[in-house]
Amino acid sequence: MTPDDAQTSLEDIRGLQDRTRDAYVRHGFSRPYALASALVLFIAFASFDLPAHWDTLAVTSGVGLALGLLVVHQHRAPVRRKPTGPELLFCAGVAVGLVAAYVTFSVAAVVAHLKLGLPAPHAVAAAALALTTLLCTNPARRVFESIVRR
Amino acid sequence: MEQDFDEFLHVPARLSILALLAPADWVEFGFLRDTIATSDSALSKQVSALANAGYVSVRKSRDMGTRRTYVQLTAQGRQAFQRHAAALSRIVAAAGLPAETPQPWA
Repeated sequence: MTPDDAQTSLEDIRGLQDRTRDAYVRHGFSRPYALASALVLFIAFASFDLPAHWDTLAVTSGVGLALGLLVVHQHRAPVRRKPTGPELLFCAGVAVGLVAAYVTFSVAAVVAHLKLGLPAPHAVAAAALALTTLLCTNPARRVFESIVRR
Repeated sequence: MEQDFDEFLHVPARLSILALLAPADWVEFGFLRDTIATSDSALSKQVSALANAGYVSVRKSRDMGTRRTYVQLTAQGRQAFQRHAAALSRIVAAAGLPAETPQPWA
């Protein structure tokens, strides 16, 4: 084993480990799951415009869809690993960011409802949130990738 | 030669398998095969050798009618891999070559 061979082996190891991490990130942020997540968010948050009982049904459907999505997502993952502390912090930050975005969109939509007669303000806010989720998927993926590679 | 250098592990296919497994809990067989660019039978042979040495464990499951095989690095395998990577790093460092020590256990 020459030092050059050892160096090549170390570079190969590093490259292969990055391939595993990339597969983990790629699967987590894949387009079907991003679309499905946006749909679940829309269903859950738009339900506030529905009358009693129907809103419960919509939220239950949204949560059921989310759980089903999570199970399928986990089953199809080529790479499985427990999330690290920084990864969980990132997910918590994303959740807080989504709630903050929804509150902001809701306030704007309710104001537009009162002043301009915008119908179904929560559905509009939920649609804006779903769109924001889709638009933020790629930037969030890049941040998550850098966390995973650390 | 470094005392922690593991001749058994340094077979390229085996080292590649362990390098791919190290950052994960479980890795799907198909992902290993495609990434290493080998055949099912060649990969099975190497995975069996690693399993017999106690370095990996294999689990088969059925996902919506599709059979899937997952491979995991055992604690013994992780230790062996760490020792081997550290030995490689020392060989490089002893020669004064620029070496960024990998984090094979991360």
